Amino acid sequence: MPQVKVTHIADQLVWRTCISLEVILVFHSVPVMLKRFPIFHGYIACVLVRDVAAIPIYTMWPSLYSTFYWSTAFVTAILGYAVILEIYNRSLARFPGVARFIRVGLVGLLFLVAARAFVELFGGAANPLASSAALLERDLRTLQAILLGVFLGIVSFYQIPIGKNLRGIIVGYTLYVGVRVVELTAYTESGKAIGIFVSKLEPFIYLICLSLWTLVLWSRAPEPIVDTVPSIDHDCDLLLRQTRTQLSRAFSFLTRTVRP
Amino acid sequence: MIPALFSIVVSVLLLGILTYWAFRRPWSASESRSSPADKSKALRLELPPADLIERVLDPHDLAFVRKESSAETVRLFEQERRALAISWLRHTRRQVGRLMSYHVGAVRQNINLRPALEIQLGLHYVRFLVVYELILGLSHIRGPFQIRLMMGYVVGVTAQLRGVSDQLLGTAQFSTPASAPPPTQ
Repeated sequence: MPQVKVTHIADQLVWRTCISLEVILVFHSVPVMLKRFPIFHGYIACVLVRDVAAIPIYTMWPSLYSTFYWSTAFVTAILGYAVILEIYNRSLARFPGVARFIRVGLVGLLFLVAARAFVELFGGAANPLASSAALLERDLRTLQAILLGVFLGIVSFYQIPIGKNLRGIIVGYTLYVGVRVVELTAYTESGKAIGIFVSKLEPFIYLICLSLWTLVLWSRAPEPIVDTVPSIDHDCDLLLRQTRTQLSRAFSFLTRTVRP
Repeated sequence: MIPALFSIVVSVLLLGILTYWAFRRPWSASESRSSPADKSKALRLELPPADLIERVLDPHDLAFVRKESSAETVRLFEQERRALAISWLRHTRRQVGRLMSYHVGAVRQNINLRPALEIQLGLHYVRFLVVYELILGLSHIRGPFQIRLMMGYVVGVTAQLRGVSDQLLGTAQFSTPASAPPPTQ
């Protein structure tokens, strides 16, 4: 019994610390960062409103809390897409080639999602998207995880420089989405006992993310400066062909060595 | 169960990519601001003379050491030559890495970037890396003298890379002939 009480106090402490950090983040960073990351700050403001509103519901109408929690979780998951869009736009504003590349990838991804939804709707199988709020949020967050994974892969490959502020937002949000997907999957697939156990991890991770965001968004960091390569700026096709040819040659040289 | 497994795999992969991205060497402003001449210098492919590596991996040396020395000496001899062979392989890997680095640095701001061809190029690069790792592993198993032919290929690859770097930069300063002839079968 005392252990349950200690756990409850710890949960409350994490919850209230998160709210405090959200307040600090919104009210301190908004004047400085609102123009740079308006959607992200809107997202944090929405989460703050939800968390503050959850306190009286949790204490006075506990039976309504579950409904409130899942419906607002769905809304914040939808808002998360806007945050990802802002991350894409801010990161690739000066890289139109890569931005075009990613747009093509996103169209392909949306096509796949639409195809899957079509099959589920007309294929006679049960629709997992509508089976419960947790499943729905899990699917939404999984798609976010894919979008963020593609983004990080491309940013790494093309060595896109990203400023300290945006980097902090990306690290925190990606960490949160990754852990949230694990938590929701455990909750929906492993039964409530294991799911609740795993869900204890999520507030701590969210606390870490908030601490990171508060830290990196405390002051405005300069945007990285990028130079172009002047001699080949207008001959992308030639460059691509040459690089591919050299890679093919290198590959064929190497493969010849392993033949008996 | 399959969607759940998919979600778990996606999240684990995402956290892995995040860890790689977050802890990789941060972007350097001075690197980005380097002049085209500095970038050209970074692409310079500096090779020791091809006949030197031919000499290092001469099978007659191995035959002589085997004939005149103890087994321990032969082992040490092969160990040293293997280290040389591997350093050459790694050198090639670095050259290809530099070429790709230069390529992505050049095209990332170009609006004419073609996604399909870029994906194809990325796959070529991945295939190159896989084969490189495979040969690196085989060099440990087969020994330095059994992969002697590979050294010729390595020299050839670097010569080709030098050629493309000349073309990319459009400058005459690196137009000196490669230090080794193209490899032969």
